[in-house]
Amino acid sequence: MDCSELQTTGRGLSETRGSVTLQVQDVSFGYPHFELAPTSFEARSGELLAIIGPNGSGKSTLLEIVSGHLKPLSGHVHLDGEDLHQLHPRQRAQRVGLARQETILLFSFEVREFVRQGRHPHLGRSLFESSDDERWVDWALERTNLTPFANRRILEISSGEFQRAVLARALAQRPRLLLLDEPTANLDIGYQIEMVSVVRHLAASEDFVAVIVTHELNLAAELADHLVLLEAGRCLAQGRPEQVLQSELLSRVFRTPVLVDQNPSSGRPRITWVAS
Amino acid sequence: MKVAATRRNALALTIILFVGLVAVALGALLFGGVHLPLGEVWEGLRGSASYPQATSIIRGIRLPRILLAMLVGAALGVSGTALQALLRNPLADPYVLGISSGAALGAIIALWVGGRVAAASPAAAFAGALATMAWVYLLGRRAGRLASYTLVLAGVVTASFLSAVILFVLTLLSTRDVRGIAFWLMGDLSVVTDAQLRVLFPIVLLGVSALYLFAKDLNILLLGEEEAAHLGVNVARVETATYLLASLLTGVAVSVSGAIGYLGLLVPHLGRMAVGTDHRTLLPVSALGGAIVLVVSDTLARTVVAPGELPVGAVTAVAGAPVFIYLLRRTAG
Amino acid sequence: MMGGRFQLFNSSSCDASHRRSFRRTLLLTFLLVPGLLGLLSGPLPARMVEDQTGRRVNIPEHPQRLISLAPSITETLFALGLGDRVVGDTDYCEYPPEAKLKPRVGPILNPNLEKIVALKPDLVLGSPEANRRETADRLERLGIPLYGVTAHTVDETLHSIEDLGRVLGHEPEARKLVISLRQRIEAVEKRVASRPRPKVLFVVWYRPLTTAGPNTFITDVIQRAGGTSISQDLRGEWPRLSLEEALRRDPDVILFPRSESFSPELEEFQRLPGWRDMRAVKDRQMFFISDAIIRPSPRLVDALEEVARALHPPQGEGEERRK
Repeated sequence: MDCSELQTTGRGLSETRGSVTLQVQDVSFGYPHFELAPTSFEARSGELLAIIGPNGSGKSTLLEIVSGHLKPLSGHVHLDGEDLHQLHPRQRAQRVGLARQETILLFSFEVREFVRQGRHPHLGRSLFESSDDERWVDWALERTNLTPFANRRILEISSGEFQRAVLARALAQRPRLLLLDEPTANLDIGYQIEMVSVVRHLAASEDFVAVIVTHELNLAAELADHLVLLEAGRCLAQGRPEQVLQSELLSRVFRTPVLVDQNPSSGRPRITWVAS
Repeated sequence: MKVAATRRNALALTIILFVGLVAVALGALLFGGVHLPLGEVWEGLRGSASYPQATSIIRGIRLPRILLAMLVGAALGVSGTALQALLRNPLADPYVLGISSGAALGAIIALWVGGRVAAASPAAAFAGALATMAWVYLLGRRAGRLASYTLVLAGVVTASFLSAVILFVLTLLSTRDVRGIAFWLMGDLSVVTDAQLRVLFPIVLLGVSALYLFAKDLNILLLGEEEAAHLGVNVARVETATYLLASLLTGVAVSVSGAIGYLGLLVPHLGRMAVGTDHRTLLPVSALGGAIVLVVSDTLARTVVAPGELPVGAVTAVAGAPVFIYLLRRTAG
Repeated sequence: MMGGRFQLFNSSSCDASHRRSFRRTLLLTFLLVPGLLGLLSGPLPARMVEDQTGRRVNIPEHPQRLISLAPSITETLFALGLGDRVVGDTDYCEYPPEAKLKPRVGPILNPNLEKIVALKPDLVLGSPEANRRETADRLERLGIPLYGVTAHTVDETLHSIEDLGRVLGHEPEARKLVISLRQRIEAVEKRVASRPRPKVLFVVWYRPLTTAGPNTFITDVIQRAGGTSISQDLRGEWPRLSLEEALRRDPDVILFPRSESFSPELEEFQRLPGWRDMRAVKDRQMFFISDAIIRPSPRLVDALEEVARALHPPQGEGEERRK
């Protein structure tokens, strides 16, 4: 089964009402030892799309292309009809927010300062933030439950809190497209669910498209509306979680026996690793 | 205490520090190898004809030196801050990219070739600084952009190469010239002409102002080049402009005063401790703070072993090293 | 501050004195009017002269308050009988003893300009060998005239003394001094004329071994005192010599300048590697010489006589040459 086939077999939730659309068409890329074959998918605002696959399958590369930052060898990325790669970086930054694992800083900011930097693309000519900007910073801090940490130093908070700060910064950008690369890496399970739920909820209430890259299959199964499965640079399947998460396919892709059944409380697919 | 970076706060801090600088400068006028009572200092400052010695001392010796200290201190403070942001490293100082070695070599070569033409030294030093700046820039580029780690490598390698060349040329000079150069290599504010001040003032003012335009971009640059790019910063342009402006400020400062150490390293740290990392307040604080620190250091240099004089670089080193150690322990603890 | 700049004669050579007087009278007649104007605009009459380094400088007609920026200049001023006109000298001016009582302006390399200004000098005397160019520039900018004094050989030293005497209005004293110095020099030269010349190594500093190059007093003094410096073919003023090369050149005599900071026991050299193999060390032909040998002052001739006594002991003095 491959991507294009599934595309016609009913995608996502038909009840999505989002106005913003993301169209990724046949994007490909080539590194010296790795190739991303032409891949396509679509998403609408209010939806959470998850890109899954084993390590080295090209998830981050795909995300990088979707962000508009990495120019693909072929294909286009259109957000609301605009080709992201044709935009000026500052215009792009006004529309696309990217949250991913960051390198450790040697400098100490306050958390609020850190999140405030998300407003940078919107500052234009002025050197300082306006009160509107500050309001969005407060909003982002509040949505990520960071308000009590606002005045702490970025180097003094835990890695989980830091990850939320990164998300807050991306939210402060007020993007039309929010991209998250392994946002749950350092979080315990409670926070993982909370963060991804918040993102999905905000995607609907604030009307943006949310795309996450994750290798937490169960998280994707529970919370994503649409999945894209990559293996070795190829899109193997995409569609609703129950369509993509088939045990035979997953066992092959992840090279280990996998059992997929249904989560009794949510009805979503549940992936269980089988001891061999 | 951290101050929120608003326009109001930045302006208030700038004004306060500026007033402080003027006060320190006026205070520095009172000190020197010869004791002048307050009244004579005032007469000297006014340039009154009935106090020719005081006028000579105040206007001819102390005032130019204090003005030079202000300009050089501001230049080094700002360029240190900018380079620490550019290289994302709080241990960077204005000399890590080889500018001071290039300037020193320029001056030494001029001395060797031209004999006793001391007047050409600042121009030759500045030429050396510019050449080094261009060389390190070309060397430090990667894929058409300045990458901070290749820049540091290029700078460090160039600096040590130039230092070796300097040592070599020093052996070719007569001992008399070597003595003169030693003062210059350590940082010396006593040799300043009015012409130099007239050239230095606009350059420092313009350089610092131009860097201030990039203040908000420098904040973002601290997050990392990729992150900054994702936030819409034109990383190549900001890095190139920062590099050129910081190198220019360092180059003019070193050309007239030699390599005064520790200032460009410590003033940004102290500034960050006081007002945080936001460059919209940090840059003016570093400029004015650097000016204040150097005026004070130079005053000490002029008075501590009077009637002799220490080169100001000796004072900043002796005072700077313990401050640096203290800061290190504070952040480590 | 200074009067009008009128062109006068070049006072560069000391034996043009007779030409000078005639020219001076002539020119003064022509320039009386601007001269009067100059008097009105400045506190002291001034004249444009060329100093010993070739710089043109405007100095007062009769300098009364002198500051010396080098010990050799201080010595010379006192020797010329101008000691009472000296109002300031450097921390290192120790000869003659009266020089130590004068107000100090700081070290030689970095004299304190404020102190200089406060002493209200008419004329500052400095030397390019001792002082920095920057000091000269700064004095110039402060409007304080600086007269440069320089000499590299014994002859130049004598000319320099005469020139100073002329510029400062003590010409007869200068001439008398120089004549007596010349007589002493000629006496030495005559005495050693027919003697074989020993090879001399002059040690300016021994770690690393630094000696004197061709264009220095030391080489000149050694030459006149009847010796040959083994380092006179080396380049530079204070060239470094490797111990092997010194051994190869095999000096007959080794000379050291006597100073407070450097007076090791000569016996120590008989233990030092390299040194102990030198014939001059083994034969104990090592002597201390007054450090006036590096000063272009009248005492240079004292040093010359000392060197001559070391290289060519007068009859009957025999073994009394040590230290």
